[in-house]
Amino acid sequence: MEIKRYFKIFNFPPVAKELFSFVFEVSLVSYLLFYLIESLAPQFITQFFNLNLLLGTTMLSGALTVIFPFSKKMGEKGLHKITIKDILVFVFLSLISSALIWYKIKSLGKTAVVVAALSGIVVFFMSFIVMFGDQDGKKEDSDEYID
Amino acid sequence: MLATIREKIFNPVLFAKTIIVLIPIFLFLWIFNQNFFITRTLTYHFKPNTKGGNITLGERNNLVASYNKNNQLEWRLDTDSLKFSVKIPRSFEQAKLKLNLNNVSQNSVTLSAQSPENIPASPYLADYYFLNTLPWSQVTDGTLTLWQREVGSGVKDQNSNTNELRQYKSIAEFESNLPPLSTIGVVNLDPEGFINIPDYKPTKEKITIPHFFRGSHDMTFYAKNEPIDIQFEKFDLNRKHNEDTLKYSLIFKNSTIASGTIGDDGTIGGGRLSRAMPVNIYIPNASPGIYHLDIKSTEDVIFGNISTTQHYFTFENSVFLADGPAYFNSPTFQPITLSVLPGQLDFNPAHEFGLQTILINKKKFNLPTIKEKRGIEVREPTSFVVSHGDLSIQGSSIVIEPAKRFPLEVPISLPLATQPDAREINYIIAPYQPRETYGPLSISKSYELTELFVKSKTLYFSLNAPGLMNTRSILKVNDIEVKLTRGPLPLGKILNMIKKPFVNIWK
Repeated sequence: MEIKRYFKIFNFPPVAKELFSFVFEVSLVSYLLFYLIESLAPQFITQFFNLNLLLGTTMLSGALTVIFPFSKKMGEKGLHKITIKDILVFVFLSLISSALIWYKIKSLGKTAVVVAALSGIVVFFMSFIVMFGDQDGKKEDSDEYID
Repeated sequence: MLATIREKIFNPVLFAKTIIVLIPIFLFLWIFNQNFFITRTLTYHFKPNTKGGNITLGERNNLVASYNKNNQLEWRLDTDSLKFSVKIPRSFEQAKLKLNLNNVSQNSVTLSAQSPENIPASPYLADYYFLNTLPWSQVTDGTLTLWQREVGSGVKDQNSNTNELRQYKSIAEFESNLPPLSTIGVVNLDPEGFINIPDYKPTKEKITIPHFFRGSHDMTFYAKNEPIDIQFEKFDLNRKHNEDTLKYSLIFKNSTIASGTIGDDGTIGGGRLSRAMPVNIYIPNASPGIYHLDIKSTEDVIFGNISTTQHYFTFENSVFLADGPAYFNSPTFQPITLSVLPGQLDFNPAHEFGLQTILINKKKFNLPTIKEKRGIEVREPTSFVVSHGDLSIQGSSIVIEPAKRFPLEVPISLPLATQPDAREINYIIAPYQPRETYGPLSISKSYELTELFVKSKTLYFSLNAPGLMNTRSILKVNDIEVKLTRGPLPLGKILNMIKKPFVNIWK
C-alpha cells in the first residue's frame, strides 16, 4: 500500500491506466499463445521473433497496471457473478493446459497423464480464485484509489 | 444512433485498443508467413552489426568497422571472401540477391553460390577494375562483352598476316571465327570451352586403354558432332570393410549431362576380387567441346579397360595404375606409354611390383622404395614408358597411349586477384558489362532453385574480393538483401504441418 501511495505522485489519467491494463491483458494472452505455439512447434516463433520482447512488454505493462490500477468502477461494470460461460472458459483453459503439460512430459508414460490431469484441476480452481476469490478486497482497494 | 456509431468510430480509446489488439495479430500473421511462405515473395535484409534474421554470416570477423569522415560507422571486408547463408522457410523458384557495396579500391568483386554436387560453381563477376578502365573497343550481346585491341596498334594478326588486327562486329562473329587462342584472354569463362579442333573427324573406331586404375580419377576428352561412347569395367577389391561404389559424372560446360552409380558386388572384405561390372556411357549427339568424366570411388575399387570412340582423352592430374599380380591373378605387365605436360612429375610405387627404373628424357629415374614419393620437374611435354603399372603418378595432363592429346593452345585466363598482363593479348571476352570506375556498387543476381545447393533449408553464398588481403584494398559492405519468389503453394503439406502437433496430442 505504501508503494502505491508513493507512486501516486506520478499519477496518470484514467485513460492511460485503462490502456496499461489493456496492453497487459493483450500482451499476456499473446505471450502465452505464442509460447504455446513455440512449445508445440519449436522454432516456429523464435526463429523470427524474440519472445522476450513480448515478455518484457507484458512485465512492464503488468507492473504499470499494478502500480496504477484501473478501476472498472470508473468505467462500466462492478462485481462479476459466476456464469456458465465463465465455467466453460475455465474448463477449456484447464483442458488446454492439461494437454500442453501432457505433451511436454508424455515420455513419463502414465505418470504424465496423472500429472496433466491434476494440473488441469489445479488450473480450474485457480481460475476461480483469481477471478472471484478477492472481490470484496478489490472493491475496497478500488474505492480507495478512484481519481 | 448515428451519433453513437460516430462516437464509437472516433473514440480514441477504442481506436488505441484496436491497434493494441491488431499488433500481435499482425505479428502472428507475419511469423506465419515467414514459416509457410504464403505471400508471393519473401525478403530478408542483412546490415552489418545487426542480427540479420534469416541471413547469417559465416564469420562475423570478416567484416570490420571504421568511422568515415562524417563520423558514421562503416563496415568493410577484411578477407578475400565473405561467406553468408540464408535460412529459407521452404522450397522456392527463384532467389534474387542484391548487395549494396562501395568499392573504394578493390580490383575485382565476384559473387558465388554453392551449387548442387556435380555442378561446379561459377562465380558471377560483378566488378573488375581492369576491364572498367581498358581503353579498347567493345562489342556486346548483352551477356558477353568482347574487348578488341585497336586497329593498327602494331600487333600482328597471326591469321591474316597483316599489321592490322581483325575487328569483330559481334560476339557471334567472334565465336564462329576465333583468332589464335593464345591471343585471347578470358575472364570468368572456361578456357577449354574455346577449344575447337578444325580438322577433327569423328570416327566409329574405338581405342582401348588396356590398363586399370585405382580409386577416384578425373578425365577429359574432346568430342564434336558425334556420339560419346565410353565403356569400362569396374572391379571391387573387397580389401576393406566398406561398400565399394563407383560414381561417375559427365560434365560439359559446367553442367552434368550424365551420371550414374555402380554399386557394391555384395561382398564386404575378404580380399576376393569381384567379377567385372561393365559401365556404358552413351550420349547420341555431342556438341563440340571438352567434356569431363569424373569418377569418384574409394581405393577399394579399380576400373579400367576403357574403350571409347573419343581418341583425344587425357587424365587430368593423376593416375593410380593398378595392373599386375597385386590386383589380378595374371602375373604379367604390359608396358604403358604416358605423356605429360611441363610441371612436377611424381611417382609413388604401391607394391614391390611397382619398383622399377623409368627412362625420362634419356635419364634413368629410379624408384627403389614402396610408398615413397619421388619426383622430377619436366620442362617440356614429355613421354615415358612405365614397365610395371603398379604405382601412382601425379603430373600435368597425363595421356596414356593409344589415346591422343588434344591441342594444347587455350585462351589465357586473366587473374582476378592481380592486375593482368595483357601485352600478348589482343581480345578479351567476359560475361561482364563494364561500369564506371570505383564507387558505389550494387550487385543484383538471380538464381533458380536448381542452381543452388540446399542443406537443412539453408542456402550458401559468398562475396569474393580476390587478393583483398594482399593488396589491403577497401570494399565496404552496406546491405545484403535476399528476395525469394515461391512456386505453387503445397497446401496439403502445409495442412499436414499444422495438423501434426494436434495429431500428436490426440495420439
